[in-house]
Amino acid sequence: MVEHGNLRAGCARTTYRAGSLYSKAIALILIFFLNSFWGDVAYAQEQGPSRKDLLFTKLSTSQPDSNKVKILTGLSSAYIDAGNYDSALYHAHTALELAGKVSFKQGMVVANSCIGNVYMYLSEFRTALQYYEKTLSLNVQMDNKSETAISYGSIGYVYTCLSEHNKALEYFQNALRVFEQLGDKNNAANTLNHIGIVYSSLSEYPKALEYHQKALSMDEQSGNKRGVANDLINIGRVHKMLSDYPMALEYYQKALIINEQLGNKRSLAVNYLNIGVIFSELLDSACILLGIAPADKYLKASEYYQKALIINEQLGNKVGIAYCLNNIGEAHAQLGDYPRALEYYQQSLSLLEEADHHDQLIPLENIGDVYLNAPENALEKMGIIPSERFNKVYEYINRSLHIATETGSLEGQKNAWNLLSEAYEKQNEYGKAYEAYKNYITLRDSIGGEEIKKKITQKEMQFAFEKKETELKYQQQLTEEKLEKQQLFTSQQTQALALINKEKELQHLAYLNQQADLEKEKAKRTDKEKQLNVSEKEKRLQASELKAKQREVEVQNVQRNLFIGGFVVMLLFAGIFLRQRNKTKKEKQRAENSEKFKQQFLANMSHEIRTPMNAIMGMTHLALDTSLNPKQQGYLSGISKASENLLHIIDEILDLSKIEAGKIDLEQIDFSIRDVVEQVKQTLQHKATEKNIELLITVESTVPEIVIGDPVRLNQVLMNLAGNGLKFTEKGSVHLQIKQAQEQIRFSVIDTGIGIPHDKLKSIFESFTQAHSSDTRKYGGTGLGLSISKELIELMGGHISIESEVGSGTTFSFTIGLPVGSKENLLKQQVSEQIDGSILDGLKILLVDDNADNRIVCRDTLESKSNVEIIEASNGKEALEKLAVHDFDIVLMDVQMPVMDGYEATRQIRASFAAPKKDVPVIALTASVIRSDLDLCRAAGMDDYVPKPFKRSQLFTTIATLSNRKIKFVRETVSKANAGPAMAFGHIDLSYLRNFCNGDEAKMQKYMRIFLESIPAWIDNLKTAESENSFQEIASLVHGFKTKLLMMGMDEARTVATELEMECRAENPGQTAIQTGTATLIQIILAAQAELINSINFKPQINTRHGLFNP
Amino acid sequence: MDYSTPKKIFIVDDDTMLTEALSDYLTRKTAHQISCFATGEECLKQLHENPDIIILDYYLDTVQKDAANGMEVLKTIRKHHHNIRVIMLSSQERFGIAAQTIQKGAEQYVIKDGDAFENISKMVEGI
Repeated sequence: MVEHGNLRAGCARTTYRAGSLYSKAIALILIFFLNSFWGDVAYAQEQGPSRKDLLFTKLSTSQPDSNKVKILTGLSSAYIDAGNYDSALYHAHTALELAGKVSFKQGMVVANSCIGNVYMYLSEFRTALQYYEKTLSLNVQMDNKSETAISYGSIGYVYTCLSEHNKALEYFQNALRVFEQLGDKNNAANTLNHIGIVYSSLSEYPKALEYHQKALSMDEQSGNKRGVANDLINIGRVHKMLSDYPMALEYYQKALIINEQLGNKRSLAVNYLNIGVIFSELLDSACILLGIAPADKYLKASEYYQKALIINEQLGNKVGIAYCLNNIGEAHAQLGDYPRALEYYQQSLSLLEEADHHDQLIPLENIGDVYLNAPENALEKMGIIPSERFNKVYEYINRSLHIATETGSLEGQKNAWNLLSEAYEKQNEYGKAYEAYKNYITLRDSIGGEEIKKKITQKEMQFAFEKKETELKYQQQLTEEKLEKQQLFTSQQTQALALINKEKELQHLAYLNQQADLEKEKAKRTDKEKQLNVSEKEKRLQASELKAKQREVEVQNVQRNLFIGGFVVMLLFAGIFLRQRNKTKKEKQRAENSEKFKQQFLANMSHEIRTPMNAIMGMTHLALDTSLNPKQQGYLSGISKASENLLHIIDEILDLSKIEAGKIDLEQIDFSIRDVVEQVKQTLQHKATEKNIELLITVESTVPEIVIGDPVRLNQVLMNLAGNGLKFTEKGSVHLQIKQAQEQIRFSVIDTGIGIPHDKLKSIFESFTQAHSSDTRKYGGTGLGLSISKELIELMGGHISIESEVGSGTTFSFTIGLPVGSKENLLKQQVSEQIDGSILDGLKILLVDDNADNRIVCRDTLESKSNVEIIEASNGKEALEKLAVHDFDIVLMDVQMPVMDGYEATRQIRASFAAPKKDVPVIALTASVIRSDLDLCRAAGMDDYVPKPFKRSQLFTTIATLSNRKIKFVRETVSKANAGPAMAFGHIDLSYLRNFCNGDEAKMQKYMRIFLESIPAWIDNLKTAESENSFQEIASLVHGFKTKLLMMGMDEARTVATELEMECRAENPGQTAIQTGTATLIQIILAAQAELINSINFKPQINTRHGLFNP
Repeated sequence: MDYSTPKKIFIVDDDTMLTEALSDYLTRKTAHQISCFATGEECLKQLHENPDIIILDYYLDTVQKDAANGMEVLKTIRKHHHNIRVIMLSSQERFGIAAQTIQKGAEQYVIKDGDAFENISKMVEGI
């Protein structure tokens, strides 16, 4: 931002500089002109010494004093030209004295005029003014009209230099009137230019341009080449001030050609300077079109400045030298050489100070800019301590602002305020910076701008129209030629390119073709309308309807002012509230992002966890339907119940936001407390036995058999508390005690564990907190259990309390009200679990899922209970193909699938199939329970969904409802003997192992146990490696596991593993591919685990490694 | 059947599946005396038993992160026992590592793949 601001400020400053520089330089041409006007004796065509010699000869031979006066003034003029102002002054004063003696009034006029000119060159304007005023009064006395007009012009010019614009205009208008009366076109044109310059100084560019154009047409008529060059420069300058650099350059180059022909040093110097400035201002794009490397533009500019500097030094023009030095300094600054830039600026400043010239504000500003923007090492080179830079900045800028305010230079004030604003901003003084910026904006908007540019264009067009009428014939011939050439440019629609090409042409066509060029421009605008851009069209329209538009422009001006006012007010408010709003906006965005991220994370986790859970639960259910001995039945029931609990817990964790907001809906159903407690015991007994801890459960007989409440939540709380007790108890017992306490029931979990220090008693209920910082490492767990328990107990209307003593144990207890329920309701509920599968008999179902495992579970679940026909598809595309061939009653559609997902497939079914088929009920099988995902399902045209892992009853009920089957329940439990289809090994092929072990069952079991035992740690390591993005680690873990996969005949897993390993070892591993690969591999292995657990007689004791492997 | 003489073999690998399977595989034909170790340290403690062959895994620190890796164990073995043949077992299919282990005195370098047991078996019989 700061850099950008600097750039803009830089442009603005240089525009201003150039402006004031030109007004001076062009004015100097006028003085020269006035001099030449006085010409009988000496103003011959000879130059320099030869002329002086001639004059000296004449002086010595001339007898009459009047002649001597003429010769002396001539000599003075010659010395002025030579830049020898002392000699010029001496001879002019001698002439004045002599003329006074002999009362030679004409001679006195000339002598006074000469002295005035010298002082003008020395920039001693007040002194010059005195002498010019003398010439004026003498001329008025003599009633010499043309001389009077020249005096008026000279005085007007002095006032211009003194920035007293109204006085200047008054004198110039007087001069102009007289010149026009006399028919002196050259001087009239010159005066017109001067008026234009004054208007430029007043920032009234359209008026300025109008006067310059009048001057140009006047000079062209009279064939005054020097005047034409002058006019061209003036027009170019106005364009430059409006930042139309290519246009300005075009005018300057035209002038340069004439000036070089004329060999006029002063004009050349000015012209060189002009062009140099333009180069430094050129936009990069314009540079390229001109064939200059953008980086070289400052060098190019510097080249021209040097040319101008040399001429000015020859002429001894101090102010001119100062301008050149300043501009060379700028070029250095732009090239990053701040110390040298500073040197040049200082030289320029001291010259301008000497001359007491108001343009000293330019080097002042520039020096301020150097101190503000120079890097610290450059500052040190300049001998400035970086911390003191701002003092310097304020010193110089305030000086420049002071001068600008005194002289009424809006540009100067604008630039000073802009620099001040930057300086304050850098010092973090935002209040001051804002005030300064407000001033800058106000000034900027009152100078320049689009409306003025439009007006200029209008004037220019008007001028072109007038010209066309007067010089129609001549132009028509040339226009035809031009149009042909122009065809080349029509494809290049940018104005800049066209102008630059035009400019290049002009160099070859010389000055006289100028009119034709203007016509070309006009013709282009009329004939090539279609290819012109919008703004050009606008211009053309405005030109043709100029008079009508001018009024409009006035109105627009008022509107603009109103707009600027409004804008300033807006800025004020914006400034005040900007920071605060930014802050709140950022915070809001961060919060939104985090919420979004959380949702995304939960969706992913939901999918990742639910997919393997689906396999575990599904296969457990299937296994329970096979013929089992009571032991196996017990294990599998344990798995089944534990996994259901796990799923519930996952649901809770997934819905963290719900927990935090306390938005959990508790169920109110009939249940048996004793069943719940028994379930807890069943699940935890294994762990207790392992740790050799007694797990005691006592339920007082007064506790009602059936109560109403939420068994799942109660189970969750008891599991948490008892599990916690087990975790932190090394020896002794964990005792779950349930008592009737008045109308309520009191639950207590008493352990003989390590205890909790008193100061930690409160904090243990906070999320992710454990009493001992080392606990997580030693005992595992998230620290979430107790906080969830606390929340749940409070939801159930209870309060958890804790008693603990370090070393002897902890007691958690809570009391909740559970109304007594009825056994009948309980039975109803239990019965409803066992849905009669036969209600689905005869249905034809399309099962779409990319995961073969899930397809097996789903197929077997359905086929074990009902007589349905199932056709499988592994993705949406395949599903569409199957649907085209067969008629289905129901489609079970997985959501996330490769090739074509479930949403898209459903959309296509609804959109592209004919009437009966397109209405087939589609049930989404989705692992996601996030509402937005379910909304997506509905939006895609799905009729219902069954969350994965699905409960059998839910799947059956949903299918039955959608296929208009009446739901029936079977009371009797399914006969264990009524075996379902044999357990299918989806992932494991034991033939390799059997071969390896020569059919030795015992050995085979040993390997299977090793395999099963290694899985948890391996998966843990793999997940850790994945979370750390340690691809090498993943690769070696996966590779190391391949032996096991080989032994277990897990070909699919081996393929996945190989691909995953290769991806991890790739030069640019794809994170997504690795994540997917890892997830798939884990999923397969978990599925295999489930298969194996079912197939072998799994003994809990295998956990002790040594007993098993070291005979 | 051509039975070679039984040898004393140490298998060092933190993958129990592998040590068990390899042990079973090697003893199918010949009654080699096989001891399995999960870490290099355990193996080094038993070096006084003077085994004929040590089958040594390259990466021994996948389970216990601070365990010495195969290369370190190999160096220690070589320092004191020049007669023990060491077969380096690795999942690293990189020539650089293979060359390094051979340089440090390993007899063979075997990559853990489907043919690994067969290859090791042949080597054991050949030694």
